[in-house]
Amino acid sequence: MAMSCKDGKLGCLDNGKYVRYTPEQVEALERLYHDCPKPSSIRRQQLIRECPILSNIEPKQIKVWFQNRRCREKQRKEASRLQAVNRKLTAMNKLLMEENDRLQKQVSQLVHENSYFRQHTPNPSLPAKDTSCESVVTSGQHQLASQNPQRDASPAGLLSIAEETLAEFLSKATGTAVEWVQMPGMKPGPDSIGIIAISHGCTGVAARACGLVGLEPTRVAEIVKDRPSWFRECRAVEVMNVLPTANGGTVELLYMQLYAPTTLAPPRDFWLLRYTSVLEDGSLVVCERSLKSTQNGPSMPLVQNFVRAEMLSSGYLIRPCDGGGSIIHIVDHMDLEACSVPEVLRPLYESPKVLAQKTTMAALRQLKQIAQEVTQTNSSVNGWGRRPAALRALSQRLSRGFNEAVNGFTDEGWSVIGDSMDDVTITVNSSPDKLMGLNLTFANGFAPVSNVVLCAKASMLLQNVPPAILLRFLREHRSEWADNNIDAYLAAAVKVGPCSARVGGFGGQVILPLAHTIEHEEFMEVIKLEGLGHSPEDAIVPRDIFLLQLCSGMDENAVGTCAELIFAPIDASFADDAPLLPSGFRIIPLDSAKEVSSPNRTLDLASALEIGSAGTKASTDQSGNSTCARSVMTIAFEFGIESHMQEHVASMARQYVRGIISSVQRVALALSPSHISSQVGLRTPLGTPEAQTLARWICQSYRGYMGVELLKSNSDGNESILKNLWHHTDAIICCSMKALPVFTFANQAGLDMLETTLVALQDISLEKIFDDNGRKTLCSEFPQIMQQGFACLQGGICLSSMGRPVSYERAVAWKVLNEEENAHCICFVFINWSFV
Amino acid sequence: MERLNSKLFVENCYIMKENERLRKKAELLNQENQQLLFQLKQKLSKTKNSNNGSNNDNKSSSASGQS
Repeated sequence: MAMSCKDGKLGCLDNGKYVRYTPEQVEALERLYHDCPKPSSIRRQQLIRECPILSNIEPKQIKVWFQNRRCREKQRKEASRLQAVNRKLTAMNKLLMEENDRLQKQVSQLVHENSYFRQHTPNPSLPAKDTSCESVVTSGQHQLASQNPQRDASPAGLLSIAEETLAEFLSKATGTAVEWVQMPGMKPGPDSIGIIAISHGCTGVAARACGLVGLEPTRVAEIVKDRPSWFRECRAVEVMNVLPTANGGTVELLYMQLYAPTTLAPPRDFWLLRYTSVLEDGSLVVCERSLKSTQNGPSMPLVQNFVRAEMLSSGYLIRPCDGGGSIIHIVDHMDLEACSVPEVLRPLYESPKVLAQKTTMAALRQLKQIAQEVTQTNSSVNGWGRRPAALRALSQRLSRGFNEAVNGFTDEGWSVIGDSMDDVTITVNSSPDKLMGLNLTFANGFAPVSNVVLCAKASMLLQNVPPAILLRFLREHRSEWADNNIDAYLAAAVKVGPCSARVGGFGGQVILPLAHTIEHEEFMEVIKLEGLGHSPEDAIVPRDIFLLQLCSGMDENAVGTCAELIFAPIDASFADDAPLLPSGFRIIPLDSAKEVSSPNRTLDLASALEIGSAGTKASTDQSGNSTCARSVMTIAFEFGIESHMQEHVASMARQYVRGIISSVQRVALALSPSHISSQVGLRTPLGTPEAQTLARWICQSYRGYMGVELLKSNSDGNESILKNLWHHTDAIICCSMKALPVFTFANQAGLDMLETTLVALQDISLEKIFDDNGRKTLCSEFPQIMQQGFACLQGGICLSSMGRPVSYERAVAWKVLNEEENAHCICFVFINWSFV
Repeated sequence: MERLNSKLFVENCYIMKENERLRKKAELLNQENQQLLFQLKQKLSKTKNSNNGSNNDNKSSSASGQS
């Protein structure tokens, strides 16, 4: 690889001479390269023999040519990647500059107004009448709430609400009407989907996103308006009335229903006004807001079982972008009536992070997904694969079917049987045609076999179990909780005839990946349970059972997402309109709201302990010790049955779901970190014995080199060493001893300094946090660290992961040795650090 | 290019911080302005009320307590 890569036509001989190939030779080589970019020496010799045109070239030259060719390819790829990143960054830069400009104007305007007000505000102690006061208030420059024009159901009244909604939305999207803070865990960068911000201390919850999508503005508006297509929780949007406006816009009145995510909460509905219009600068705006009875506008009677929630001015600002595509600003602002749900669930309704994940980012993801599909229509399998729309429709139907099962709306034909106070609720639906026909029409589905759908559902509270890990376990170890007989029974419902549930041997399970979204936050797969079912014609011949499965939230780093595993038996034909009767699990993390108020807060011991004491009496409390992270798990299983079997299946289903609950509890207990070190109550990975050992090594090595203690109060227990280290005021950070060192551990102060979390920390490399100067110092000191074991570094500046400069008085770096006196990692302590 | 990209990225981060700061500032100014406006309004209604001859001690005390 040491040869020049610039010109592929040149081969290099040992003596340094360059050889020029003929165009024919280059063409032949290129063709060979296309078939096999890295031929073995035997293959190369074979090539020379087979291809007469190359016969006069030395084998060594051929080898070099391939090396150079590969090198060029690599460089080209790298260059195009860098260019793509550059385009994104430049666009983002432009966007930010614009925002900056706008903000500066706004500030100067406000400063101007401020001085004006100051001049004209009379000293409160002087009751003198100042005529200029009147002009300020009545000039109409600043409309006061009491001066709202008359509001009623007339077009004029609606238009005035619409215009007000638009103004409010714009001031949130590009201004300061809501105090925005960066969404924790969402680092803006070349690979992020956009700039995501969440509200901080406003009425309700709000989230904002800004990003670029490769779709025309009108197409973007079309997609975002079709809320049920991307917002999984949206059950229905009904347009009740449409009014065109004089300026070419449209005012619509909408009634929208949202599913409840769990059986423990009621669903929500909204009565909305949506205004679509084009701004003077050519931007397209879709904005919406709840209509309230107090505004004298048209009203919508409350619907039974639904909690009426409020949408504050929200919407989409879509601007055409140079060179195609759109720049889109999204604002979601809602008051979800958190008081209507049990206290333990409230964080879910009070967390702007959850709103951002579920709604705001979901919209952006859908746009990006569709934009990608548009550009890739002809290319091979990628993302959702060759038939993106059909697969997306399947995943949507799975999700929707599961939500219907969890909610069990009476208008859909569901009714509760048995004791509704039971731990497992059983509902039946005797019009499965209607249920299944929601999105599809199929010729031979459930009707001939099953005329009733029975659903068994339950919710439980989990403590200390990371949802992603639990769900991964459920996915990968299906046999731990699933009953093959039930799978066979479920599958029989989608086949032609009822099948006997007498199954003997254990079949194997194969997972076949089907498709995934761009960011892999959701994927679909087929589970093949081998030789489990029986064909109706011949009960002896075993048959494979297929389950279509949708998984999401498997990434434990994502903030505020719920984890889902939803599956439905599917006919081996895999028709797009195959009937689906989904069952599955949804795990929703609950404690996010506690941390949301302070974006800088990271995993810490103190908050972990606080939450435990503030908790409510959980019904499924597993242990008496302090709780850290809580989540609610909802399980729903659907069975297609014949009506005369109802009683029998109901008790079987109840038993089955109870069995699953106890399996989940068993698994949860095993996964819970508190199971390992319940006394410390630290979250993973801090509670692990490994962390305690590392803490001991750090302190021992420091003492060994420096002759003084790192921690002031030295107590013997491993746990207290870790605790002291964790709470140490100086930033203590460890990095690996590789060619490109990356961070492996940091204490609380270290995480604060780097503005990161324990999980994200491991993606940061050591050199990233130093500026050029610091890097130079480090390079010169590095040999000393390796030889003497430690080095004292002068004060200087380093950078947090967000690029914020941090100054420190001095720093010490030392080798951390393990029991065998081998170097385990390098530890840094930054003394008296602060943000500049 | 790599350098340029990281420069852009850092620059973006700085602008973002800067924007955040401006937003905070605007927010504060806005609050202050609202308060001043509120005071003006109070003042105005008080003077109007006193012109009408109606005595309104509660309002005047709350207005003066606003500063």
